[in-house]
Amino acid sequence: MGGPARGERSLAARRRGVLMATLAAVVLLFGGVQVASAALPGEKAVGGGAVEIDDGPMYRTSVRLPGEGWSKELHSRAATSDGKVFTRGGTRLEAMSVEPPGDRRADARELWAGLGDVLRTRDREIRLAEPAPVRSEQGVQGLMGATSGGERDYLAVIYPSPSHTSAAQLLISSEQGAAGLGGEADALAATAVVFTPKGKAHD
Amino acid sequence: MTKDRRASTRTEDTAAVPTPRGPAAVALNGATAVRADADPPAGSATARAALAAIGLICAGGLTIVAIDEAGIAAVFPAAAATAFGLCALTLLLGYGLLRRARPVRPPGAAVSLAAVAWGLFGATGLALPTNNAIDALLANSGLNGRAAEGWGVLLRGPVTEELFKLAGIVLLALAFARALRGPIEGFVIGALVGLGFQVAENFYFAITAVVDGGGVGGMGAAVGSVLLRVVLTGVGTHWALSALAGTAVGLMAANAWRIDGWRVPTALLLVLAAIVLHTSVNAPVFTAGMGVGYKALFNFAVVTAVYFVLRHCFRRRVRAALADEAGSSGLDPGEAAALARRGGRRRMLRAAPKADRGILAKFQERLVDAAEDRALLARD
Repeated sequence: MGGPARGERSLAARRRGVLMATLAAVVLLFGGVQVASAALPGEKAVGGGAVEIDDGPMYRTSVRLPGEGWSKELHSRAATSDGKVFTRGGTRLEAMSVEPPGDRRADARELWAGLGDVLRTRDREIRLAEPAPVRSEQGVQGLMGATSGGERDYLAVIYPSPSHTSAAQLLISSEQGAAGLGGEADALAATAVVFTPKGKAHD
Repeated sequence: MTKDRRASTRTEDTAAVPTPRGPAAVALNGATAVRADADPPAGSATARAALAAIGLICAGGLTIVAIDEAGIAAVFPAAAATAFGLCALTLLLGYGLLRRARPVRPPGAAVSLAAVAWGLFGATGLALPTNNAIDALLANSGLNGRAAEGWGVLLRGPVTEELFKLAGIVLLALAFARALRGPIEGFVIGALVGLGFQVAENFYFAITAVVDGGGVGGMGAAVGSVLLRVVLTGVGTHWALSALAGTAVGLMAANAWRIDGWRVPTALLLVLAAIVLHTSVNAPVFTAGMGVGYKALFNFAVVTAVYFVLRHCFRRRVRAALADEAGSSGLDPGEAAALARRGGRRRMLRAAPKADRGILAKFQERLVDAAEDRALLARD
């Protein structure tokens, strides 16, 4: 007569064990990865030179980081999912590659308006000023302008790729705010983006 | 079935439903007795704790998902609303189809909705930050950019997502013990968990596509992303993979969670298969053209084969159990076995006078209940 009761008790114990093991596994996987990630350095030094941000069908898009001392932020997220964030001193550079959907041409003016919207997804108050034309060292025409109204001031730059199938976007900011966006930001805007046609080495 | 025969059945049914007598009562009570030994009492402390864990984790996950996606949805409301509509449509369609996939009768609404909620919010809310942290870990690992990205693709989805979905299926099996007692039930509940995750992922990728498209043509980017993911890979990703993991949980539940016998290695193999098949879809090989679609189709074929084996075994057992009880219920064995199908039950109800259909439906329900108990508790 004690059989079924004992059976029920042992089943209840096994179910309790399964519950505890499952919750422990969830906590271990979720918490363990977070703790391990937080314990490691939040940035990684990157050597000077070009860092690839997109490997498209026609062009490889890279950012050239001038001089030494740049680090890649490992926990910060850029405005787009594949964007990368670099820092040096008080300067912060978000480098992204975007590809308009379908057969849509990457038009600088259109992408400028789009970038304004994308920035507002993380800061509702931010506004992009009317852009000015900019020409990269590589000879690519783009647009450049400043943001205002947000928690952080940016110098924004857009360069459509020569094939107009994608575009590179830069967001440069400084710990010193708008006042810190001086010569280094302008230099980055003009020299950082490099489009390399497929089949050729980096410039 | 002749008219006289129907009339005779009706009379017996009317008497049998409230208080089954004779062999029918033995069959029903016998099943209940077996169930009492194998099933925990409803509302046990473990079931309540599992249900609370599901609720808490889903609430936390919903918060994480909302924080992550609200900014984009607020700036691109039309694209977000369209993506939401399309995702809701696929969710409704999938929910109906997958619940129907359970042979004999669909799983209960409560466990089905809890399964979808776990996929939508619980597993997604756990996976989002974990995947981001894994990316940071890999970036710190010394691997070069492409190698880290490749490992990220392999580890993030296949390992973290499959394990978080699996954890939810186990919690559901503990919280709704009557609804998940065997592999076929695990298959369907697992598929519903996967469906929820798949829809959450489709929505996430749709609104991310708007931003990754530079914020231009937002609607097109969102719609294109959802359609591509539904049409190209929809048949063989999360719902299918979690169906395998659910089958594994069902096998363990059928063994009263004992760590012995053939079910343990089989369950492990099924979970491993889900991880490996997920890895194959994510792997950056064979991706040109329809490559990813073919990989998803392969997954679909594997999961469909597993499903038909499970369905066949379960139906066979239910039909046998129903046929066993035929004599006591006033049905001939063929009629009783036909109750294993929705169509068979409907036909019997349609043949009965309208006034008796309610009580006959209850009688069918009790017979099928008892037959399913016997089918699910049969040990190999």
